[in-house]
Formats: sequence, C-alpha cells, structure tokens
Amino acid sequence: MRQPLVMFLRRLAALFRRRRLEDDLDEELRSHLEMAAELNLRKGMAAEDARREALRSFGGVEQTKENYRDQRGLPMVETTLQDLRFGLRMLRRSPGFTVLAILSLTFGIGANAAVFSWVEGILLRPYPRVFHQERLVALSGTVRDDRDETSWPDLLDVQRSCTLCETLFVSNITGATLGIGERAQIMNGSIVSANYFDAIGVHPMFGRGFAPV
Amino acid sequence: MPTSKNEVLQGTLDLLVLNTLDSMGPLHGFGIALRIQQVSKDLLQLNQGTLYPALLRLEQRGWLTSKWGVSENNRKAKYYGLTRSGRKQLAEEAESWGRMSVMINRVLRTS
Repeated sequence: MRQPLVMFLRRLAALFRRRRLEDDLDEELRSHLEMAAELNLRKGMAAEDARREALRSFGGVEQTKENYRDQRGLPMVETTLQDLRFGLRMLRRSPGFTVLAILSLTFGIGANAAVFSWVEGILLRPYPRVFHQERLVALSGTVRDDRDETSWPDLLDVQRSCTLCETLFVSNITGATLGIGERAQIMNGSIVSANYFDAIGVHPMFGRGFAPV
Repeated sequence: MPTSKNEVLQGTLDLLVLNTLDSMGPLHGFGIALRIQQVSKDLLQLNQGTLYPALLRLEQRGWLTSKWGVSENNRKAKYYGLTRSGRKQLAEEAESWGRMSVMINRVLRTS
C-alpha cells in the first residue's frame, strides 16, 4: 500500500509551510462565509441576519479550523515540538535551576551507569568470553567438612562415570613469581588440564593454547 | 415537510463530495455544500464547516486537487476538482454503497 506513505509525507510537508497554509485556510473560510452571506442577502435577509445565518449553517468556525489543522499536519509531532519549545524557554528563563537540573541528571545517570556496569561484570556476566556459562559446573573434593584438592584417580573416575558431562577439565588456581630481568612480580595463575581452553571456548589472542595430546 | 433532518451518515460525506465534483466539475467549498443541500432537497443536515477537513483529507489521499480561482461574483475562492484516482474511488465507493443498501433493504424486508 503506497497511499498511507504519500499521505504521511504530505502531512509532514505541511508542518514546514504552516504559516502559509494557515493564511490559506483563513482566506478559504472567509470567502465561504462571505459567499453564504451574499446569497442570504439576495434571498432578502437583512445584512446582519444574512451574516448570522451564514455562520449558523457553517457550524463553529474555530472548531472547523481545529479539525482542519489536525487533519493537515501531524498533531502528535506538533504538540511534542510545542512542549519542547516551551520547556527550553522555561529553562532559559531560570539558569540556576537549569544548571542544578543538569548537574543532578549528570550525577544520577553517571552513578547508575557505574553501578550497573559493576553489577553486570560481577553478577550478570562474570566471564563475558566463556561460552555456555550456564552449563559450567564446579566439582571439588571434600574431606569431612573441608574442601580439599581432588586427586588424579578421582578425576579419572568422574571422567569415566559421568554421563552428563560433555567435557571435564581441571583448574587449580595458584600463583607464581614472574621475573623479568631484575624485576619480580607475583602473578595469579592456574594449573589446568590440556583441554582447558577448548572446554571454555576461549582462545589466546596471540600464539596458541595447548596443543592437542 | 419533513419533521427532522438526517445527519450525514458517518463515511458518506466522502461519497457525496466525490459525486458532486464528478457531476458538477470543479467547485469551491461553498458550492459543494450548496449542491449537496440542493440535491438532497434540504433533507440532509450538513454543518458546512465539516466539509473542509474532509476536502483536505480527500486531497491528501490524491483524489482531489485544489487551486485558487475566482468565483462567479469575483471573489477569490479555492476550487476543488476530481483526479483520475478520485474518479476511480468514486466508482468503487458508489458500488459498495449500492451493495450495502440492497443488503440492508433485503434484511429489513425479510425480518
């Protein structure tokens, strides 16, 4: 259907020629009322009656103009623009209030954004590059009530008997001292099984991970 | 004399306007209003002002064109004329109006 688009474009175009079109409308309605009054005169009415009768059979002139304007342009756009202009005028009139409003908005939005990005990083998407996070499960061994390292035979047992697991990898967070020349620094690191990078779907940007066994 | 005038039925104003312009050629708003009232023998109560938003809508749809001209008694007036697609629209609306009225009459007779 092409017609609604054409209609929309015409109404949009009318927004930019409002003054001109408003004059046209005034002129058109005035000429209508004058012609009607003239006809009434010729029918033998008194001048005043002729004019009043013309207005009566026309129905409300202002009402007609209102309806006409609604049909001519895009009322929603027009009132929105009006509100916007009104708002800007009010802001210009009281600069102190404006500065205060802008500052509180700035801080409000800034604080919100900061908190959200923090929450997002920690709670919502902690490891953005790891795929299928919802299917990651951590297993660890216990001795009585304490967590304990898992042994190699345990791992082999789980690997053999766990039909639910797609892959099984091992990770043990630890640290190491990194020395470059005369400088030394403690680094966090993990001792992991060879399938680690394949399992979490993350690959080094440079170089390679572990070669397949 | 009729005791009450009929309001213009919702949606029929377009049809009346298109039909008037088809039979009379280009006319100004007042001329259209007069003609509709004459043809309906004044049975139709038309607030003449309601014509103008309707004329604008028909023009936006591409069924009418308008241009300023001078009336019989030398007054500046805006004249409306039917376009080709306006004529097509008139034929369609007249046909659907005919179908509708036949159907309603049939319903009224049988019940």
